[in-house]
Amino acid sequence: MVTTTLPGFSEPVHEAQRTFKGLLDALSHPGQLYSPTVKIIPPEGLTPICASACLTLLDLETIVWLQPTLPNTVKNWLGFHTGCQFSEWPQDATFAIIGDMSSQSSLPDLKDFNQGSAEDPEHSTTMLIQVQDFTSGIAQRLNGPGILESIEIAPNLPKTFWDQWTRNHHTYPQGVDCFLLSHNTVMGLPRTAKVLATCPQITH
Amino acid sequence: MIVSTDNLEPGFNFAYLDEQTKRSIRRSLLKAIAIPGHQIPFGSREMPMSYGWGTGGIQLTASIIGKNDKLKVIDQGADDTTNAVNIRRFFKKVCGVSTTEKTAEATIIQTRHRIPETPLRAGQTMVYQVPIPEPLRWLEPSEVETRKMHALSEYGAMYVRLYEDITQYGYIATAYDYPVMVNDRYMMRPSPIPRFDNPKLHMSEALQIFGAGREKRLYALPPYTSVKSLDFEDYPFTIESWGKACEFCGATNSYLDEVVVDNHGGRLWICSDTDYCSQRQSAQRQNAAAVSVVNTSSVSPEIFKNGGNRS
Ligand SMILES: [Zn+2]
Repeated sequence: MVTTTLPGFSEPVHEAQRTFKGLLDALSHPGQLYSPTVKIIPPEGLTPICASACLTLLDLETIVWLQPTLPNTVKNWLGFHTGCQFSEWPQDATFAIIGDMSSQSSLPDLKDFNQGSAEDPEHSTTMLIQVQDFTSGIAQRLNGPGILESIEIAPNLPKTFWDQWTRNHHTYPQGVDCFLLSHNTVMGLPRTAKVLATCPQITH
Repeated sequence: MIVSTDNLEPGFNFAYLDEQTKRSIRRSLLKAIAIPGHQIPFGSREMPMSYGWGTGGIQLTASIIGKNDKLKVIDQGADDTTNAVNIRRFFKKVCGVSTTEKTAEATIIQTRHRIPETPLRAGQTMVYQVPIPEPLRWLEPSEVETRKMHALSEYGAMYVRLYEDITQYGYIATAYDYPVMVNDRYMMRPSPIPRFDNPKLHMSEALQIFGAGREKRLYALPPYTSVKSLDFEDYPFTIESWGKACEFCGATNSYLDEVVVDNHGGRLWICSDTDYCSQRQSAQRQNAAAVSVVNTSSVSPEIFKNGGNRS
């Protein structure tokens, strides 16, 4: 496979640390944007920050669900660099990687992924969702832990996502957690993030 | 001297832990942040110090620390106790990071027993060394049962226990590790901090993470998270007060330790947080110098504290 010859991190220890710090900050401050600096050539189908997140979090202990529309390059690259396992069943996934949220036919509902159990809510799936940008979507006002008062966000996500997200929040402490990843920026959306209101659409 | 941080202590990975272990702890940390106050098992590793020396906190610090971090370590409120000095030395050796005693300068603060008096700020991470993570342990020794109680939010027994204190003593006698409710959902042990520090947990700007090495559990409080100390309408939660000021800096709003200062039973009340106390003293010296009334006989708190009884 040609794709597997693409390198991973050039400084694995420090770049994984920097990426993790970005993810940690993002999940601790839902709705805020973080761009850890990492040099990486991602495979076709992953953005640089999403590829960095994968190298930071995945290994042989993790099971990954890939959106079927992602090119094979992603599976080959992840398998080679992380040794992760793959499953076609969203229920099995420790991580799910989404390339295109608008491709509804290839996407299960958030509730079809692992929700964790009442005693082990941490066993739920973590969603790595690649998005175009953080400004052109439907604006939402959030609050919850990590947010002082409230924060308005507008990542490029379809309305169906937010309907599912509201249900996801209601199943707390069970439910999935999301990282939204653009080219090199990440936003965290832990299950505690509550949609207060859908803000009036800004006309561009 | 400038040392390349990549070449420190050959034979060890940066921050001592191998990358596989870090990844596993990091994944658990992210879940802990998403479920504030919920205890998550992690694959605790053998560390080059024994349990009771903060191996849980050390593993969390090792999983988050980067070469540009500035680390502060406190034991009780002091940076100069054996435990704090050893942990700081360990991270200097395995990461080459710089360390500090100043709360305001630190990016990571590892602690047992205290939260600094200087308010924590956004971007800082507090790492707590936790001996026993389970708040319900003394009420229900079975872990199978306590896990069910957390799952069902069945915390009535703890309120009954605290109310028994009130009927027996007239107040809640728990002075350390006073239980809290996190985000109105999980009951959490805040580690053996005095109840004086409990209000600092609430809506803190800093990320707070907790690691228990022997029991292999970690949990977290994201910034701006509601943390309520358990109480009753007729018996609201209160913190300790001394009706005294610190002998060195005059602070009336800090946690005070009673310290033996000589062989004749002389005692003083001084700040437990040595950094806070010395910051206040140096500010006062500067002010005093500015009006040229310098008192040359003032004694540094370290001299007393080293000879003092810090039980
Ligand atoms: Zn003082």
